Amino acid sequence: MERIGAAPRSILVKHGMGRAIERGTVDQTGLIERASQGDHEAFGVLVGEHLARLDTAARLILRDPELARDAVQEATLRAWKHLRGLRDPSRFDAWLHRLTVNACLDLARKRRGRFFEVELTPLHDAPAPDATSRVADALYVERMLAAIEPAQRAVVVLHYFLDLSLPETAAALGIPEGTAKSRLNRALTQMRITVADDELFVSSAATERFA
Amino acid sequence: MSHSDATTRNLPAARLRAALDEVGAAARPDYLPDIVAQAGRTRQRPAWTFLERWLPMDIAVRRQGVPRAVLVFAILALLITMLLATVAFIGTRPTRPALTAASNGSIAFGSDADIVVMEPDGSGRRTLISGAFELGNMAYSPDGRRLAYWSKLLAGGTWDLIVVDADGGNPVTVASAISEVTGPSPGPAWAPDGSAIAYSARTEPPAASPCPQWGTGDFCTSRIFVAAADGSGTRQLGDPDLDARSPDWSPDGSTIAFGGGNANPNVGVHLYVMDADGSDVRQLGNVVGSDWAFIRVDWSNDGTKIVGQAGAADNISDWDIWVISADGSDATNVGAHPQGIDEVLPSWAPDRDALAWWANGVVLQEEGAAPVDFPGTENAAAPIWSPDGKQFLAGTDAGFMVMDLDGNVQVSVESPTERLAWQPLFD
Repeated sequence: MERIGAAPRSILVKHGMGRAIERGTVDQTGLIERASQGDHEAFGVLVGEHLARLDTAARLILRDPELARDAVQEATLRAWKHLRGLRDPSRFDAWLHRLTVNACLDLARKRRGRFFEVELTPLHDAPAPDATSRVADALYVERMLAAIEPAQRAVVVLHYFLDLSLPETAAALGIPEGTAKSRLNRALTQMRITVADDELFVSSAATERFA
Repeated sequence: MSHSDATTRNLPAARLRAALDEVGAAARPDYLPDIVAQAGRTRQRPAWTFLERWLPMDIAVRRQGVPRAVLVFAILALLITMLLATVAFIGTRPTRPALTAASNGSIAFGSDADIVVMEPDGSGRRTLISGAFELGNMAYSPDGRRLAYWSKLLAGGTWDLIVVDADGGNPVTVASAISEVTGPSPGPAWAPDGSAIAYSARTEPPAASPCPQWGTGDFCTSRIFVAAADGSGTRQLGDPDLDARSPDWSPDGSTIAFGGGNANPNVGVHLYVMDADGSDVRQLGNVVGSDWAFIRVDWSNDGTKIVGQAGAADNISDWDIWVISADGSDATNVGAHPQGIDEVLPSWAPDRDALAWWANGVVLQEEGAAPVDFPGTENAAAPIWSPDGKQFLAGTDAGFMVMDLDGNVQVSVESPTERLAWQPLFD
């Protein structure tokens, strides 16, 4: 049993799903079963639970809110069409992540050279940088994300934002685990970030070469 | 953006995660209603179109430990046996009989794990084979005298490929202990002369670098095998390093076409051919698709063309129907729905240059004519031609039907199945 979290109540009520909210919990497997039988409102509840996080992941990868919206809509439509092919309901979350990242990368490929990237955290809204503050970290990461390709952002977002393990990240991208690890390393190197307590470690010597 | 002013920052993973949360923080997305509305307008793909449902798939069984000496001896014995069997098999292959028009014999269909047969008009229904735990795909031999089918005897067991006479007698196990069959659909691929059956099956993944999952499967450990129809042996064919599935023999039996790829999903699946002895493996053209592209490949009756499903021009994940000349030239997308609808599982009519496939319903295309959608077949499975080319079978979740080319349902059987085969009869 999983709790409905991210779906705005008004949307769920509008689509006749208020009862699920009243109960507070829903059975994801049951929702998948209903959705795979054509119940698009059950699908709405299912997707609503993940939508905010998928949207954020897509914006981090594409750095364009409109494109991110297109990618998430494409991914969720694909999930709807192919839901009956999902053999293991417990893999729904990972499957949706994979569809979203693949939709992002497809869009990025199609729009190569035509990107209009925007800063996701406007500088004028942020307080003065403080080396130790969360906001300062965010500003730094924001700038560094802009320096790398969408495919590299995808591996960073999957691993550090969606909290997928390296094997899961590799599976989501359809690449071997070793490739995922080296791609993540390269991305962090280009972002000039050394992650101190992760399974990855980018040496300062390596990062200095890009400084 | 210039980064000359950036210095390396050392962040604990938790702070990097928090920073990404911060960067991505925004108002809640407001387009859930659009997603729900879009789902309401969009038809879901029927379950049968997910090809793993067509294929008798299973997780590989764990092997028991075997003493090394016994293993070495067994391998040597097997190699000698296979060598002798191969020599004997190649030396005794009969020539292909002349192609003559067939008439429609019995229809075989799966009923749970049993095989039931009936006459084309629905009469004379009787159980042909029973007693297994699970039934896989099946196909009649080109002369209609035998039926090959995949069967799993026990829950958790492995698959056997069995050949029986058309009346169910003289069963011969021609391949056994297969952990996972990877194709083709709809059934085992008989050689035109009926002497052998090609199939594809999963082999052990390399321990050092397991195959990455992509879409609905992995695409690096499937290989093609050929089993002698008399049960005298099997052998693996083709490039030992190339993922290969869904073999289909050319009409003269000299060549086998198949879908091939490798462990890198970005490379995708292409159409390949090889000589019937497994030599001279070569890619035909550059048409590419993802996942289950070329899950069914079918040679035209004159052997000059091959049809299969592969990616659309702008998206390898959207399947269209491609006809490719046997020399790899003139690849043509003949799909009726070039944008947005997956088109799958094409096959040639047995008596002419007409094609049938599925795209949110059965589609037929006569030679030189535009593709025609068949109303009322939206939930039907991919069509299977009758031997005389004048009807087709289509299974659904509710049963299966025999339709004529005018779209009239001639017979409807309330026995849900995707395991179907139609027996050709010759005078």
